[in-house]
Amino acid sequence: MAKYRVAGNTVVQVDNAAGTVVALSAYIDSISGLGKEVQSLDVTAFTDTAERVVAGIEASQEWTISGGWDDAATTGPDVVLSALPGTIGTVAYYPKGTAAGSRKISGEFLCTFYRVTGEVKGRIEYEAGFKLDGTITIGTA
Amino acid sequence: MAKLLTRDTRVYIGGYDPGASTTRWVFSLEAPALDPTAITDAAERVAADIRKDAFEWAGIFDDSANDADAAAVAMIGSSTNNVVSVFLGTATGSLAYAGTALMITHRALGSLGDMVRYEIGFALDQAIERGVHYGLPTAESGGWDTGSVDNAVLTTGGGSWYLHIISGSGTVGLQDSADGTSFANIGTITGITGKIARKTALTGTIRRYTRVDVSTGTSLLLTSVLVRS
Repeated sequence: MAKYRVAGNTVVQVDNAAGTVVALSAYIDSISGLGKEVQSLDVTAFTDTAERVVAGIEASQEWTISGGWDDAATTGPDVVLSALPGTIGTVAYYPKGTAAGSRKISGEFLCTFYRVTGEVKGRIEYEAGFKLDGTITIGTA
Repeated sequence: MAKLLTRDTRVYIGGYDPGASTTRWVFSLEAPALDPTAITDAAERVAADIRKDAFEWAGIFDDSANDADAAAVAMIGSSTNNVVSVFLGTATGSLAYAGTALMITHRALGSLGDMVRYEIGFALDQAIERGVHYGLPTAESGGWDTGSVDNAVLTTGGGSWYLHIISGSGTVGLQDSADGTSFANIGTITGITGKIARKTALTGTIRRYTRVDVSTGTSLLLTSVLVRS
């Protein structure tokens, strides 16, 4: 049993517009949670003394990544993410790294937005949003 | 690999330069998700809607002739001279995003203890495009160019040329070259007599080297973004 810090461990990979896997970990400083989510359906009836639920289909998770905007060619966040809105590609998230046997969470995601923000006295920031299409895979590297 | 501070960016709205009062800008490339899930699906499915990009600007109220309030009064609800551009870097050849936008809202606002502030909202007409810019505005006359950008390769899918004329008069051309020495016009805007912000569609091949050229001009203050496909 071990715990892990994010820095130096977490790996995030996305498909670029050509379908090639690109690691964006060097450009990300925050990601929203990603795992598996199912719908709960209410089957409560008059005779129940407490709410009853059954599982529905797997829900389409929304997931965002963000960090400092960077103009690195070919594998940087701007060149990769700016081409993705409206496309579906593979996303893979390794919470503790890519060593064999490490947790890997992956799926096919629609990129719903890529946003760049400039705020006075600050750095340029980017944010990208994704929405799961179909089932997530909870596996290992 | 280079990150960027906001002070190294520039924003141009419809031929106006509100940089001295800008405190925040946001552009967003967006494709909302549609739900095509059917009863046989074991999980929710998604499909992409068409692009619905957005651009926002906020700053400190300034009534200078070339700042945001003047831009807002001129542009609100107008579909002409409605180019918006964000330069991510100040050197020619730096990345830039540009698009044509319908200004749908502008407002001044204020609170005790604060500056009078200003906000502008846009609805993008077509998608925001990613390209390179050709220098910050400098007042130029005939026989001047921005210096060329080496794009490494030619492209054959045409593109878009976004031009902001802040002031002045003359003729401006977008030029390309195979060798960086002999240039020819691939787009020209003539008879400029004042502020414009125009998108020109380009077709066919754009050769490796590109620049913006002022063939004739009187104190033309301009800046430009080229998107190649």
